[in-house]
Amino acid sequence: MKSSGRIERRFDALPAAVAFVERALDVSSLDNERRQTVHLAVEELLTNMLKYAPQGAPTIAIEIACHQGAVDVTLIDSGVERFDPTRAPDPGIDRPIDERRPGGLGLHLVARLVDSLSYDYAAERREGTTRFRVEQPREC
Amino acid sequence: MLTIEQGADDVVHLAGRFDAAQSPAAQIAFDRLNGVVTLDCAGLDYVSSAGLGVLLKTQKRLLTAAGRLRLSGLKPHIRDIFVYSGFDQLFEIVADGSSVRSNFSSGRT
Repeated sequence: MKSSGRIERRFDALPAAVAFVERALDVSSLDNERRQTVHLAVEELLTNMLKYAPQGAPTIAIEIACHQGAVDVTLIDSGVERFDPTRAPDPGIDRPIDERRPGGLGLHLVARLVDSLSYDYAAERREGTTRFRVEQPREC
Repeated sequence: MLTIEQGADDVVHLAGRFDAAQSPAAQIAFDRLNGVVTLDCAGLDYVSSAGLGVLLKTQKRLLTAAGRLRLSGLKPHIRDIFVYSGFDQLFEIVADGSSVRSNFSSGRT
């Protein structure tokens, strides 16, 4: 079961993205915690695109495919430079509070929480494709 | 939707989704907190790095004036997010009104 949509490249479009993800996950077999993981990954990836590539295409394509035991999400951003979310800088989670800055945590959390994350960049189209998967292991 | 409600005894009840859309208004509310504040997170279903940023900024401010945030009632998946962020070393995490073992040390210089 696949849902496709486009998210406008604006911070005030994030609630619409949440609604899209919510509807797409209705038919998934994921439990609540894993659904929240999908929401978190979409939010963090989208906000990074908005923050670091504000000059990209006016909309970002999103596709959510619900399979037995897993959900695959694809985000495609056009008119952008390469920005690989799998190579985010270290947020320094063990540093003392004086050295902690608010940035860098989002992509770190995505990498920790999702089951796989990949990025491809097509230079000729200036298009970046981010894919992640969240799995629901079956109970033994 | 995120609700921030002042309760009794320096407890503030946080409920809903603490995401990027809610964070600017949340920062304004958190900027009004002072002293030692227990954040009851039993109703918190979701937090993203934007929400964590508000909490971090608030904690830094409160610590300079001998105050701090204590976090109680964290749902398991929310607690995981705090651990993965290293925030369990920056915040006292409490369950049922008493401190559980966290790595927070308010006496650290």
